[in-house]
Amino acid sequence: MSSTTTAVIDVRHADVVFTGDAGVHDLTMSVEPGTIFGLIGPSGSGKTTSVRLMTGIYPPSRGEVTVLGRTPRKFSPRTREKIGYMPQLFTLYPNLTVMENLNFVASLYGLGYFRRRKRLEELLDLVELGSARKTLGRQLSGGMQRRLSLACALVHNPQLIFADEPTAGIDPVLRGKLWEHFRELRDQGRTLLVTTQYVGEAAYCDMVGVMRDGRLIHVDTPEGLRKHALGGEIIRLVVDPAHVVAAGQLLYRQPFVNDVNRDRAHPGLLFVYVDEASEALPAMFSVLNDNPEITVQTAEEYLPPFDDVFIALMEQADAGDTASTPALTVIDERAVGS
Amino acid sequence: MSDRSLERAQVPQIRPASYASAAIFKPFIRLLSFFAKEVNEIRRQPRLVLSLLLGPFTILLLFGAGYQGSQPVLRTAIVVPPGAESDLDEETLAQIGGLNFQLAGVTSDREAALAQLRNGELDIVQIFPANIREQVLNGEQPSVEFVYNQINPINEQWIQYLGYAEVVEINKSILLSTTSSVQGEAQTLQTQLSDMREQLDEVDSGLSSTDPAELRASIRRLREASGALALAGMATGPQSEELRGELVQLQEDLDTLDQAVSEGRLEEQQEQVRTTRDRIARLETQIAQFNALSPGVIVSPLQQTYQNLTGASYDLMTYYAPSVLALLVQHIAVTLGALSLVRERILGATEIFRVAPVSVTQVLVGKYLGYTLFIGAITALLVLLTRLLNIPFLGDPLVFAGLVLLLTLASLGIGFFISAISNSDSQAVQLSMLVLLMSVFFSGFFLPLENFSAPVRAVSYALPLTHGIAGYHDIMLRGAMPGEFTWAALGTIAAITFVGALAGAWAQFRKVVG
Repeated sequence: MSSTTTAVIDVRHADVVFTGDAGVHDLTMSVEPGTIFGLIGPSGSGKTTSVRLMTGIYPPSRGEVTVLGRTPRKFSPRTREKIGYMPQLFTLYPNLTVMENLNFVASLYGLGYFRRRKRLEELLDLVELGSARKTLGRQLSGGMQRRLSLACALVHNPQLIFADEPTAGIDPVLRGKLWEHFRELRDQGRTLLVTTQYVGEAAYCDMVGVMRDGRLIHVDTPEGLRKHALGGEIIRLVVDPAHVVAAGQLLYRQPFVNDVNRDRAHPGLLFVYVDEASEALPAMFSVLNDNPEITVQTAEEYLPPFDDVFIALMEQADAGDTASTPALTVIDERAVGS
Repeated sequence: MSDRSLERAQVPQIRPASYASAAIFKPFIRLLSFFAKEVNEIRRQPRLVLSLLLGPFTILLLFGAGYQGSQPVLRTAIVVPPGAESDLDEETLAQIGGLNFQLAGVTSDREAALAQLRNGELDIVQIFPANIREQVLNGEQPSVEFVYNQINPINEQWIQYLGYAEVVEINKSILLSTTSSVQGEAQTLQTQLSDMREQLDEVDSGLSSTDPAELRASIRRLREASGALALAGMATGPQSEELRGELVQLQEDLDTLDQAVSEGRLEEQQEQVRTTRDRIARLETQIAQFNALSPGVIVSPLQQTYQNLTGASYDLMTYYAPSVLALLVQHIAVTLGALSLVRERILGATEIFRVAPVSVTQVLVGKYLGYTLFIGAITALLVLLTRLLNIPFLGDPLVFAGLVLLLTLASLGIGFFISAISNSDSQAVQLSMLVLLMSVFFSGFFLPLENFSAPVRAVSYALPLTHGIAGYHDIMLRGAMPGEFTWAALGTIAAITFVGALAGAWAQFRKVVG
């Protein structure tokens, strides 16, 4: 985890304490410029509190927070103009139309009327609310309200964007489109901190922080996160069903293999746990080739869905062990034990 | 950090599009954002506007149309005890009693009247005393008893005041009747005085020619008439003491002369004869003067006349119309202001403001702008409505606009302050209603400010409506410029409440979002 001074967001050992144990504890993270940082965690894990801490809404009761080189509670208007914020709940006006809400937020950021017109049209297209521009806020569906909130957060073309669950309640097609836009924004050099409960969206992020019970339990790239959750990489191997046990036992004895699991529901299917799949695959083929009775049908790196990765991480956290331990639930039975 | 993100870290810093706007205009754009937002929000809530506007307006219109004055209508029965009819003229009693009260009837049954009072069929029973004349002649002052059954202190005050006025009128009526009667008796005395003076003239010129018996009979008649007149209380005019003194002296003179005649030594009383004759002459003059006066002048020497420098007062509806307008302005401003900030907070918009480059002052001033424009338009509409009802507008419209502006700002300040200290919109509405209630009681809307003690009057002066009503009356009904105190008080309230609202809003904005 980097903590260089070039970080757009730099949080060190920050606490926000509410009644009881609620809040966030010992939060330490940094977000580099031009990246998408995803905060993932179950409801109540502290994602929104962390975002509010970084936007200056909550003061830290301990630790230091620096955003765009400044303490959030002391943001200057110029700094604030560089920040876009989409809160978790719909906070816009139910008695104003979509266009009036957008105009209002644009005015808050000092955008002149003529200057903002083209921008608003672009945003309406992006969030697919062009046909609803005259619809009142209270008449929008939940998904439309989220899209309007997102458009408002982007209206002034900010350098740093905090989006608290921007894709909640939005259909998968539009969700994909929004993530595509987020990545475009990132490619333009903007920095995004996005919270989400859709674990699969971690794949769109450059860095992912996993939160649980107010603590950031892991920060890594999506690939690193998957590897950490699984205790390495997985090779999905299909051999002829008659020799599946022999193949499993053979591979289990190899020094580059950490573990082997068998899926009884699919005869002939084995999951082989290794440190690096790219290095392990040639060695595995070599061993299997030395045993001609075993026929390899397919062998490839297996990328389990992030939901499973996330569950694995949560289970590890429950067990108090963040070391790499194979815990993937898709594999129902250990084929070979020592 | 991945290679890709390291790569991106080198990209040039983004300049947000908003940076391209001239920084000098941004505060105005932000200010106007709230202005436009508030105007749009209000026009999207026609029911709110109607309830704010038409609700109080309809109530007060009904009041104006239905209110018939401050004097209560009190049903009364007059009880005249048996035997008192000779002293009291029932017709006059009924006439006078009907002036101040709604006369239900004149009866001699006291218990029946009191039973009606207890049953709520009557408000007052007036019980007149028996033997009024006798008691008066004995030097007593009999009472008219007003019996009522009231818990309303204002009605009680009215009963006592109206009862007093009625008794004054009855006394006046009695005096008028007595004075007429005394004037009749004075006329008789005048004749006898004249006879007596002529006889005394004869005695003075040649005493032997006067028949002593006739003289004594004249003396006796005169003494009776003058005694009766003195007793009847002729002395009700400005010269009463002098006249009474002369009558008493005359009695003594007549006694002396009578004695002298009976003893046959009238010639020795030459001087007394002249003195008596002169006194009779003076009495004749005084009685002639007394009889020349009308009984009304003798009983009520002074009358009252009235002059209103404004020409004439207005009817109640016209008088209350400016107060109603001022009340509506204050009520709308307080309610809009009270709901404003608290709704932003409940909605969660405060969270956006906390992150956006907008200050609490800009939020507040923007709201002031929006609501002031709206209330200005409403006021213009209401003034037009009052013109349709023939309510005069005698003053300068520009001065009026200035007063409305100050009243609006002062009232909005109170509303925003309420909003800043309220945790929910129902709490804000409740506090707004409290301000409305206070205003109706303490602003001089119904009850004059002079009726309140000094500490409570301070509450009155803290209400914008108090000064609004004074200013509206001055401009609309007098065509005059409101006094300096009105301007200064409204300006002070506006300034203090702005600072209070700003501090409250700032505290709310800094408060952790729940």
